[in-house]
Amino acid sequence: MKEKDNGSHTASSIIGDIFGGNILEREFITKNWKFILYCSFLVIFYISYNFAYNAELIENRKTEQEIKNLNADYSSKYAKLLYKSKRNEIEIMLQKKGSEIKAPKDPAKRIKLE
Amino acid sequence: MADEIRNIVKRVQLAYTVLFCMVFFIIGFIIYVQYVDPPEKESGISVKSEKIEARRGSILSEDGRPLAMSIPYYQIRMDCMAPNKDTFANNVGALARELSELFGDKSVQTYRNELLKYRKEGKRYQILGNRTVDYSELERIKRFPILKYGANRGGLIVEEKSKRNNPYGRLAYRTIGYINTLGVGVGIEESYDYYLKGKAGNQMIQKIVGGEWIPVNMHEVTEPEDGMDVRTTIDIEIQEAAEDAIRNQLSRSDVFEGATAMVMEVKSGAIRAIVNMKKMKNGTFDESFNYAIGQPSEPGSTFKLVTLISLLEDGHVTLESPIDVGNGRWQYSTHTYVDVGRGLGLIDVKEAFAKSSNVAFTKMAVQYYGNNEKAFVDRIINMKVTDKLNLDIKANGITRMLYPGETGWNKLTLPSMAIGYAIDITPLHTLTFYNAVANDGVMMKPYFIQSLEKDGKVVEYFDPTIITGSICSKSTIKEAKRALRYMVERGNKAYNDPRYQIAGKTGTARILLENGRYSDSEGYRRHQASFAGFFPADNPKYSAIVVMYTGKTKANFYGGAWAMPAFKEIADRIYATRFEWKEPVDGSRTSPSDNPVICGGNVKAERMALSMLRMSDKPVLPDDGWVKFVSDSTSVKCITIETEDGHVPDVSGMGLKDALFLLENEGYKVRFSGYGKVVSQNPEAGCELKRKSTVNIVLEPDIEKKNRNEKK
Repeated sequence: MKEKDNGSHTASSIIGDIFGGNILEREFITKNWKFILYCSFLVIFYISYNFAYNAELIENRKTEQEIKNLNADYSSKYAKLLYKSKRNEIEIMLQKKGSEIKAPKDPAKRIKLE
Repeated sequence: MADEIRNIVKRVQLAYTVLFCMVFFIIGFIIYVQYVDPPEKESGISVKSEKIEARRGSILSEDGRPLAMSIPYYQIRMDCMAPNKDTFANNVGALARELSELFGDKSVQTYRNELLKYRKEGKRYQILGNRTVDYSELERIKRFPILKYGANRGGLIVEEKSKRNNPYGRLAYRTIGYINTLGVGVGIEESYDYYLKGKAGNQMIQKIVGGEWIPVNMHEVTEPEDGMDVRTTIDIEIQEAAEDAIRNQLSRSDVFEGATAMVMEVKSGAIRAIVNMKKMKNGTFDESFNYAIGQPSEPGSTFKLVTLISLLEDGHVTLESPIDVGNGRWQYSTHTYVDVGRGLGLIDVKEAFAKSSNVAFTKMAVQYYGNNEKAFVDRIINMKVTDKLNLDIKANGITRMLYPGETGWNKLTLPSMAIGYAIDITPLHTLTFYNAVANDGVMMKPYFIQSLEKDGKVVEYFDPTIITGSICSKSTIKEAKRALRYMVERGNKAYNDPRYQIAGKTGTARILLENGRYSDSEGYRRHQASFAGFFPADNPKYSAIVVMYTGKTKANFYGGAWAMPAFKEIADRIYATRFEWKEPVDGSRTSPSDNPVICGGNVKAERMALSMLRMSDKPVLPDDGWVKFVSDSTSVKCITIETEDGHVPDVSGMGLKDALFLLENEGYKVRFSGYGKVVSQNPEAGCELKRKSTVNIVLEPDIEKKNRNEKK
């Protein structure tokens, strides 16, 4: 067993204690190890909680961006569809397909049953 | 014993030391990466303020379809130094090919040379292509050679910009308007910019390890307020009809410089269509100048309605009162008023109105108002003809009228006003007046904006407003309507439609030239041909006005020949969709057949159709899918259509819409001819056919239905 002459006050002995593990022998540690363990558990919990929160924020932003993209996709396709559904465009398309279908000149008739 | 303990302690010490060193190094490395040598060296920014753009509101038609909406467009840039040497060298040709195909502005070789040049010059923010791209094109670009490796290894930089898109092209463009980033613009975009633009939001974001940006402090976020949607009164179908009619008329002569048309709903004053066509430098017509509201001019003969109503209301004449127009020429003071065509001799007021006799109206004006000119002008003012319109689109129609005694008023002013000269009003003023006559004397204020909405909910709704409860007595209105109906019936027989009746007045006016006269030194003149009226005459639903403007010409341009055809075309197209204007056909005495012919189709639609049919024995439908019906002499049987992957379904007996839907849904291309129900298909039902192959179908109208109708 190592005998420390002047306790653990010199620099080299403190570093040696920390690296060598002798620090664990100190009264401060042995008496309060439960608390130290509790603190380290808190630290771990805090770090992982923070990390999970950041990850969720990133996920949110990614989802928002995806929604924006889907919206953009929808809007541009919708605008194109609206243009194609213009009566003139449909008439042009029907002509191209060689169809004889024309727009009606008379309104539909309503039939009263009762 | 002591040795064993010492060994255990030594091993534990060793384990502890190793673990401790690991932790020590990890912490040390974190400190190193975070503060001493961060990996992202380019941007020193780790916290910045981010503006959250508000979405600009859309401008909607009266049924909610967007006339103008904001769509994201993307600016493609490239960091030409980002890809490594090999990737760039091996794929630059392929990338050039894709770019050339997508943008179509430069050849493959040009693109290749440019890309190599950018790389050599070290361009890190170089624009690619000649325009911004939409979302589908962006997705394509993301798969291009080199760029597909993303921002860091491929150099792809995408900047999102919001561009205003008009899905219906140039339809009502001048009225919808536009606005630039400085807030300068025209139309609804400009006058309703405050409601459309919303408010941008703001948040602080920071960059964390890994390059991701996250919001810093949730409490400091100001959420953006999206803009409100502006719902207009414009009816897309009526707007299209009006634009088509105007374009057709404009194409009939090179002399036209522009035209305008408006359709107003009689009961409410809502503007259902507004067309403004002006000839551009390249000879085509475009929505660029606001003739309808921004161009006051002498209205010409359409103003005779005002004079007529004034004379009727003051009791000076009735429609049957006689008036002698002689040989069609009348000299008064220093001017000779001339009628079109030869002299009509002795006619009545109704006829004078129908034939638009200048002589008749100037004579009557002088006869009845000659010594009390104020009375006539006051009538005009009381009927609100010259009032400022104070429109909701923040446009004010300006009018100009002289008052008796003012400088410029002379003996000719009164008779000239009676036939629509010496007074400047806009086409919208004329239309508002005609609408009041159509509306039994109640003058409605024209309006363009129906409501302001947010997320589909109405925030503010604008009701119709009455300008004046009655412009004149009910009996005068009745007579005025009679005169207007007579004008069309008698004066322009070609436009008498047996299906519905139009009432209105043609208008022909010469336009004042820059030299202050109506013709220049070489005898060229400019004309304004118009027609204003309403329909159906017995129960008016819509009023409309068409005005065509010519350039300098020596020919004559009459409202009856040039404006009225356009008016009729618009009225016809509106009529064709208004089934509610006709009385319904009485079908109560017909006995329902138990074996009607029913088209095949989707079960959901069939279920609804069957629920309306009166049959004693209705066929039972499956829960979903497609069915067709076979009717024999007594009943109708339902047959389920099998849709097998890779086989052509049976579309016989279906209408075009259903057949197209079913076949295209199965992945086939369709070629069709004829109309009615599908009578034959090629390949036959049940045949094996690969997706994307073509199916031909022939349609014919139902012969049995035709025969039944012929029997009736």
